[in-house]
Amino acid sequence: MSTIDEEEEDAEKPYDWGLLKRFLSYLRPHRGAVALLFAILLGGIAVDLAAPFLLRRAIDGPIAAGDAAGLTRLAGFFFILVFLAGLFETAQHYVSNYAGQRILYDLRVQIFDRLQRLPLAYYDKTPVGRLLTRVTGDVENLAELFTSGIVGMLGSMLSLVLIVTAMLVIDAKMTALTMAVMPLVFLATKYFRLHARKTYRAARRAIAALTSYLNECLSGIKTIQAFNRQEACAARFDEGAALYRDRSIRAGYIYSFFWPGIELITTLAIALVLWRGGKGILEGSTTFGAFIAFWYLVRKFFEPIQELAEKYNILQSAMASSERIFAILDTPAAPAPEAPLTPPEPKGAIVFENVSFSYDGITPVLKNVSFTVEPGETVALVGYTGAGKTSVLSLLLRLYEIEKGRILVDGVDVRDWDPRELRKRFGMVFQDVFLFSGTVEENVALGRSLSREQLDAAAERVNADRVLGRLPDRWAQTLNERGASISSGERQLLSFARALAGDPSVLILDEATANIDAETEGLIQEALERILTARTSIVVAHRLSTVRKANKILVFHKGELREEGTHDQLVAQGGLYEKLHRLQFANGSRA
Amino acid sequence: MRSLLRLAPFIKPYARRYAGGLSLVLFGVVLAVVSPLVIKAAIDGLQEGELARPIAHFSVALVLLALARGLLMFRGRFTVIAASRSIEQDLRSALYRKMLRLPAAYFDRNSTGDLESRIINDVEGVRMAVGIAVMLSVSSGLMTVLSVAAMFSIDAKLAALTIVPLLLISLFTALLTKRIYRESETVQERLSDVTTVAQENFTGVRVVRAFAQEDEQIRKFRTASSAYVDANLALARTRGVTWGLMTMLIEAAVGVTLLVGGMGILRRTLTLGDFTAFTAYQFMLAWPVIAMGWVITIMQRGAACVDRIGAVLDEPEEETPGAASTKSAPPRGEIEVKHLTFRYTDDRPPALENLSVKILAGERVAIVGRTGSGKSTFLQLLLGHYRPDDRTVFLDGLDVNDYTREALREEIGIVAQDTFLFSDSLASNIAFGAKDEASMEAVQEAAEASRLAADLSQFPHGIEQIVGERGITLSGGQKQRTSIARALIRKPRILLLDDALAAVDVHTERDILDRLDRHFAGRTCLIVTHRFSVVAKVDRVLVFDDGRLVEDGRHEQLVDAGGLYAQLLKRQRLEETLELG
Repeated sequence: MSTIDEEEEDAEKPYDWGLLKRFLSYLRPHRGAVALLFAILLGGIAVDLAAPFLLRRAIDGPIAAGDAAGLTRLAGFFFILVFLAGLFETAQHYVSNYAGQRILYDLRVQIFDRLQRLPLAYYDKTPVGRLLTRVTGDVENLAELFTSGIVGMLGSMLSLVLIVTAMLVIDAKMTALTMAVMPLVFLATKYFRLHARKTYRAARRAIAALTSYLNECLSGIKTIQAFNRQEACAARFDEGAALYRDRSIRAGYIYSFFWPGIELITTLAIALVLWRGGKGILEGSTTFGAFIAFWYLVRKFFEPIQELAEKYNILQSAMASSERIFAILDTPAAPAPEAPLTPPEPKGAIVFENVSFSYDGITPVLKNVSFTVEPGETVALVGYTGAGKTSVLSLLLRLYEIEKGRILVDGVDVRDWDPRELRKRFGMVFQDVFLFSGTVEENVALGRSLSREQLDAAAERVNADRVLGRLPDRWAQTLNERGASISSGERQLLSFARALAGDPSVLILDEATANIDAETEGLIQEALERILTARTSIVVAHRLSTVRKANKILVFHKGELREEGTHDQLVAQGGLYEKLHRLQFANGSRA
Repeated sequence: MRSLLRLAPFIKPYARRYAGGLSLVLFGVVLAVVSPLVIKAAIDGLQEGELARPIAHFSVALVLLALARGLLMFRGRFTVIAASRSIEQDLRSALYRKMLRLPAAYFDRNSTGDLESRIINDVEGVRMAVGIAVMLSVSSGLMTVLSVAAMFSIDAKLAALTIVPLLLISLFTALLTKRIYRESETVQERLSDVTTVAQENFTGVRVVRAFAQEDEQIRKFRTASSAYVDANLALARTRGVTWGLMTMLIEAAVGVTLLVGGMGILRRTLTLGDFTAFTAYQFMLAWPVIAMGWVITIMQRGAACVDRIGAVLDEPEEETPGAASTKSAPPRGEIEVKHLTFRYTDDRPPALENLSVKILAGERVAIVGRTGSGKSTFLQLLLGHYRPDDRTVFLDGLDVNDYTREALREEIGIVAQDTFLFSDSLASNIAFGAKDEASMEAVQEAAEASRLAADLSQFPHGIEQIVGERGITLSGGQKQRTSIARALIRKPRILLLDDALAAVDVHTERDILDRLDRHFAGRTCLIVTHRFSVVAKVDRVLVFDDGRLVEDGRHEQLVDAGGLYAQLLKRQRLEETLELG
């Protein structure tokens, strides 16, 4: 991960009611669980606060009066409270997680859904790492917003209010005295919030910088070793690691200071209560029970205060995450027609009419390109790297939007098709095979309901049955991450099977035979003879042996369609194609 | 716990600080245990109606005790935490140094992300174990002992009765911690499933779209996310039950005190002060009891982290000292290879097969061949990134395996295929290649020789421009020229260019090669290239195919021979005309 990325992830945001309100709208479908949660929260606090009152009654009543039966009865009540307290605790933990996880599930799936509908251009400019952070880290941060923020903070505030009320009920004067330490509490938490955040963030920045330097060094380890620079790099790393150490020690200083500080303030409040309460007892205006109950409440009083101070910081980073998530949800989806037309009969007819296209709106990639592909024809696209061949294929699938002209597939403008229906008519084989982790079957069938027989047939047609024969579990064989457990040639064979398994009306091969070994190439060549005759095919190839047999060859150069015709015509014409042809056939090179 | 012993050498330098910090914490614990006794004295006095001292004195005593305890705790905790941070840093640096000495093959086997996680996350796990966990176990341990002792001194029977629920807490935590640990692992696994689906989806977005796989992908993602939610809820259930039980048992101890202690008061065997102090000790005990479960988890995680770190520390380094008579004088430039066959791993086909060639000191040699023909591997072996069989690769007549890595690389300058630059200034990136500290003049000179100098005016900060800074990105050609400058500043006896001019135009390439003539006369130079424009400037051409040396000779000889070289050349010539057309 780059430094820039980390800085972005580390950002925080002040409270923004708009964001919060929007997040709250995600609670609506789960309002039952949320309401239950608040009921549990209230119940828990009530039970918690009932204990001191019971204590007061026991001390002032049965214990003072010597009433053993009364004491037993009150102790019985106390045990019931104990049981309820445990129950509420369990329920609160589970229900808050339940509601939180449901909400996060909704959000996570919504982000993912959205990403499936964003135009491909969005992916061209957004690194995968950043997208991943959105569906994992940022969503987890929002979990914190719910559990710590909404539930935690509201819970803390609620219990603070109730504790103070209980204190007032028991003894107003002692309550006022306890409140006298509040300015100290405010100062301490304010100092903590300010400095803890600052020092903590400084430490985060140091570790982020260290991580990104480390990442760089590990990626460039050979360069470091080749230049004998290990010592220099180690010294620089030490420097960064020491900075992180010093900054985290500084942050640790603030933290070590805060807890004893709050403890001290708590004791101060208790000392005041002891003083005032003791005097009250001596004067007869306070009972022992009230005194001890109050003492109990004062201890409780500082718990939510500590929690509030801690959670404030969590909330800020959650705010930043929610903003980034909502930005994805607000990105406009790739355009799709409202009432898509789907030609009933797949024929495989393609027309490009004066098509112009550019990825960035500045540099033209295709200039006024027109051609026709009749059903059943094999058309080869030929030209130098960057001539625009792959762009033609992407536009055909409507992965990008054209600037001028129109593209017709089976007589209908691609912009009027439902993009998915459109793409289902094509079978694609790319130069770089992308396999998902999963079984071979999943990778070839790709969610289409295909029987083993259909799969076997597809595999056989492209000579991929040999690959299956080599795998111990055949179709059920699991492939590693990015399909690393089989060779690149075998992967390409599987991707041919994948393209043909859906019986597409148009087959598209984009440099499909580059980057593979001679043996696999032979297998594919043999298969191609069979496959290409059966349906409309568009082939981008370096190898002219495939191109030669095409019904039509389109020669692209710098975004323009320069030549068009059969192999013999183009060779006779003596243009670009003829040169390309000489290049390959004159020396019989296999590359 | 045994794996934690491995840390002894790292902890030792801080042993005294630990001892100091921990004793302060222990003092603080003692003071904490005294406080309830003050309250007890006050309440007992109040009940009898006559206090030995004014009630305010008790309050002041409480505050003073808290103040002293606060200072001790703060100082002690801070000392221990700071020591653990220092240990963290030492361990991190040691681990990083170790990684710098590991062979290239190790990095082929392990992903950068995994190694990074060991240096960052695992070391942090160790710090938690030796810092907060050690401190908590010591302070909680003493607190438990002292408060139990205090409780027994007040009323042994009551103490025995109320300790039962607290013992149960320890039992439950011990039982449930394991389960929580296991369930947390499951949560992590499910999360990584979610990440995998998402990552594959994002990387394979073209395939997803082309095959209209969006719905299928959403279905997969939902399944993975659901499983993640379920794992989280299973964990939440266990955690909830744990917390609930703990609350119940802690409060139950208070209940027992209320009932049994209250009866004691009625029978006058116990005072109200005793009763209050007793409950205070119970609350005091609750925390260490809960903390223990947490400490165990941190320790377990720490032990796992130490194992992962230890695995790296145990890896054999690229240098195998004492294996042979190590030569530490750098080579002059004669390269000889005899019957070299090399495989990256045993299960892969050979990258080089039965290669024999001799390159004289000062010779300029081009190496051509298709992708995967073994050209780069050859250079990697010369650099000692991988270890060839003994007595197959020789520099100045000595086996490369007999050189120390440092001596071997001292006189070799490499410009690798995928140019790697640090996000640092151009000047620092160039100076990186120098044998010692490079002067600014030397950097400028190298930039001049690699033709980078001409482009410097494009950058706002010239040669001090930071690579990769927002908005300023170098073109492929500029990157290559920077990395050439980095190799040139080294003034090595042997210069290796691994397809290093691919991204610069033909004119600049010629210019750079001319400058090499001037600055590097008499030095050995191996140029791996796809471009035939280079060959006019070399003494000799080696043609590699499928890991074998298939042709070797002067450019004209090879053209006349009409073999692979002639074919490749013809192809390139035509491509060039196409490019221009």
